[in-house]
Amino acid sequence: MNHHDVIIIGSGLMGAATALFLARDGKKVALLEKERAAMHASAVNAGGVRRINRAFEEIPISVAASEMWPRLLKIVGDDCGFHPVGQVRIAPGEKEFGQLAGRVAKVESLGFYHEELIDAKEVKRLVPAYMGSCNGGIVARSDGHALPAKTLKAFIRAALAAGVELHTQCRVSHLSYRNKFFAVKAADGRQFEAEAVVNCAGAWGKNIAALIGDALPLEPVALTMMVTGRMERFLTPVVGIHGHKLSFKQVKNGSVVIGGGHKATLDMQTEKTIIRVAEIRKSSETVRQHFPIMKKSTIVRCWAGIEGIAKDGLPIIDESPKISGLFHVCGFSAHGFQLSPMVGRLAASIAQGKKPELSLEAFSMNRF
Amino acid sequence: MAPVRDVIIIGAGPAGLSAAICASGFGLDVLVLDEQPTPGGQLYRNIERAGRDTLQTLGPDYSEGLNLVQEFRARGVDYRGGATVWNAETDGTVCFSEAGQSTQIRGKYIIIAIGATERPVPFNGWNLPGVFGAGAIDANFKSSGTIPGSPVVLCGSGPLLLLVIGHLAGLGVEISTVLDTTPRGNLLAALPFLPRALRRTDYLLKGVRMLANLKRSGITHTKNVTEYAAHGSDCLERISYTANGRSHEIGSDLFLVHEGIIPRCDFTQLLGLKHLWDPVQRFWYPKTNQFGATANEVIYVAGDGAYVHGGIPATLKGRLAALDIAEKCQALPPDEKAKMIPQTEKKLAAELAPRPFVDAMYKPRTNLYQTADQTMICRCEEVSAGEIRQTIAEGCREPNEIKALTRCGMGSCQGRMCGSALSEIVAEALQLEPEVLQPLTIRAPVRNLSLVELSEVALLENSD
Amino acid sequence: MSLFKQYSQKDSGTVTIDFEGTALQVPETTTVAAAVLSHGSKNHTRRSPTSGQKRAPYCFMGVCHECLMEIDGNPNQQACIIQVQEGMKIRRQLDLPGGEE
Repeated sequence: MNHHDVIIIGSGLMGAATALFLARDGKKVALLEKERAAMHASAVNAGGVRRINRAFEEIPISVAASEMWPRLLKIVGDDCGFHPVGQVRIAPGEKEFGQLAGRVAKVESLGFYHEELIDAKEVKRLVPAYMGSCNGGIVARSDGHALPAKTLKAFIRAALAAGVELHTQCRVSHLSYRNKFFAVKAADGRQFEAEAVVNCAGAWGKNIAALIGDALPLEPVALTMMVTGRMERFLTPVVGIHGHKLSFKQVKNGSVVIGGGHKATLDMQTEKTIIRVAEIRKSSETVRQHFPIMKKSTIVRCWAGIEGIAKDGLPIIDESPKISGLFHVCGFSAHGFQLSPMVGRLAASIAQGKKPELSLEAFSMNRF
Repeated sequence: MAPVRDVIIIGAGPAGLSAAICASGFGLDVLVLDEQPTPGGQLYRNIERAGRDTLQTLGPDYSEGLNLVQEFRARGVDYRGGATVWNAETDGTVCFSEAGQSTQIRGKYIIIAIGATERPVPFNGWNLPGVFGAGAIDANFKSSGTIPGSPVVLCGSGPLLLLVIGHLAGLGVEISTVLDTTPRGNLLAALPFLPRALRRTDYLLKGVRMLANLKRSGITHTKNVTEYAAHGSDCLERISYTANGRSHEIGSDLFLVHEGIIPRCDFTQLLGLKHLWDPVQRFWYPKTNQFGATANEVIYVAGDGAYVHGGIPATLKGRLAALDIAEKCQALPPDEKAKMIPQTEKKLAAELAPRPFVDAMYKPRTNLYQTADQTMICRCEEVSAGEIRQTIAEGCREPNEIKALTRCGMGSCQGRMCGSALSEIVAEALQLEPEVLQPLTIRAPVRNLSLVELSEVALLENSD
Repeated sequence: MSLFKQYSQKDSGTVTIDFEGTALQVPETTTVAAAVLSHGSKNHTRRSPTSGQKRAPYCFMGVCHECLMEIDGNPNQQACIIQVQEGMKIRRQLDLPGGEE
């Protein structure tokens, strides 16, 4: 019987980061991963590292995380390909600009100043390739992007170096609590026990919770990404367009990575995603309309990772209201990547029964 | 164009053509989508334009395709040349690109007949201009009537290599030398399959004749070649190789390499169909029944894409798929079908009799993918074997994980050229069989597509 | 220096294409890749966008994607499976996309 202080289910970024900080706090951690190598949301997302346009509740965590990203070389021994090239959100019309202006006012009233309202001229200066209608926008100048697979690998490597035990091809099929310990069993019979369990199973978070009778209002979803062949540099910051499904960035090697939340078909039985032609068609149309330079681009491939999303779109970071010692850290779809270093720190704290460094009230399960 | 067809056949090689002829013969509405400009696939490439000389030089293995293509044309089957399919879905929906425009269409049944490809085996310098597949040069002659402009060195193993040598010799191309990588022990290991193969002495004699011709030609035929590399500053200048333990080097502008043939699993992998691993010939192939049907009701695979067996078996498999579909479409009564099947199956069994012997005879050498660290595995993104091995040493254990970290498989060819090697390198490092590793994930669009074209796809849901 | 040459003057017709400003007369069923490598006196059809290395088609059947060329202004066309047409404008893709951020 493998006995640990904490068992973490899922070795995506939330799991790996939580494991890392727990281990550095002196805890004996088992990190369980159902695949041979973690390969879902954390490994294949768009790589956006942003504070911009966050749900207000997430801003404190996001701002705290933003201080960690430039220091990842120190924290995990890898810079994770982080480029602080800025993120811009364009307002095509007056209405959108009004919405963004309202947003900035609210953000500033909360005491944060990372979002800057800018005029059309500044948008044009930052994003010369944008040819759609423009009524200004907002910018977070030291937001940027990083490499998801590299980041995940770095956190896992650092976790292993800190003494975390990683068990792969370990699909949890049983979770129960008796005699002060949680008993965790994998489909192949491997068994673990610990005083605390952290559910970082992403899109499978609901399934894991259900094993012990907890109901997480969490659904799996697959969002589509497209990438082009290499192009001459024409874009520096990451761009979003308010009111349109588009996230747009040109990465280091010149390829353009296009996201924006277009859904793919998800088969949770086979754990495979299937691209929807109508969605990539719409995405291409949006890109073409707003960035005419992309008319000469070639789409080289598409993909869609499997992510978990909670009913209200905010993550769940909380101890189970039913079973103490069980923590749920899931539901980060479309907004987890940048938060992950800080979420790991916070989850590690609450898993030890300590007060988290930042309030997690907005992410409590009691809100449902 | 009608949005829903009875059968959509992807590929117009022997399997696709045969299936089309058969299916249309039962009155089914057939659409053939072919990325080549004219029917024939690779085997009978451009055969409608082949002159008498060409037909004679390339021999019956090529010329027998002319009847098939002509019959196909005579049936008036809806044929789209230059139509590149880039998506296939489990319900039979397909997307294809033709003249810069993409269309979505559905088949009640789909026959994937895209055939096979020369096995991509990376070696030092394989990316240099001047290095080509041997079958590639054959295909190039068929399609464009061009031949190598200077002496060639041929290298590798397999029946197709012998065929190409014969063709090139017949075309007057000077062959400097043939480097044979067929492992020494193969003939011995293949002997148990010889009795069955002897049912087809005609087939075996063909091979014997090709070897005899090679011997008679006086072309240097170096055997037991275990390693080779191409060298040059920006194009091929020299070839180095090891034979019988000794190193050699020769100057050449052209190096034609062939290390076997493997099924093209683009669509079958895209569709998430079950694949089986052949440990002798070392390739994945889709799981199908005797009619080429897969576990998916709607999807069939016929020809070399189901398993590499050659041209005549492909035509027979195409026919079997069409017969099964015709029955499902109620265009062929079950008892009629039952009468027609045995004849085709008997012919197929006869055709396949020599295959186990041939497959064992040309089993690839065990060091096929044990390339030096500096060898470029991923041509598109220029990722070396060493880089891949480094990533494995750092804890990576799956090809898709290595792809995410090194970019191997992320380029234009979408892993077609590096996928086999990547799995084999991971397998070797981890002491596993490639069978337990997940192949590189394939997703739509499986061919490069311009953003503009993608933004204008004529969707099924919008068709009248 | 051509890697390939025409085997014989087939009785098929010819077409005239424009290869980087030079008019070439080639047999009408020739693929674009074959035309460039035999009549265009080039030993490569593009430079790799990753490093600028010269590349030529490897498989001649649409698999390797080394044959990507610009045809009539459209980039990344698979030249080995596209037949020449009268007046076609063909260019090699030689630019190495530049620029760090």
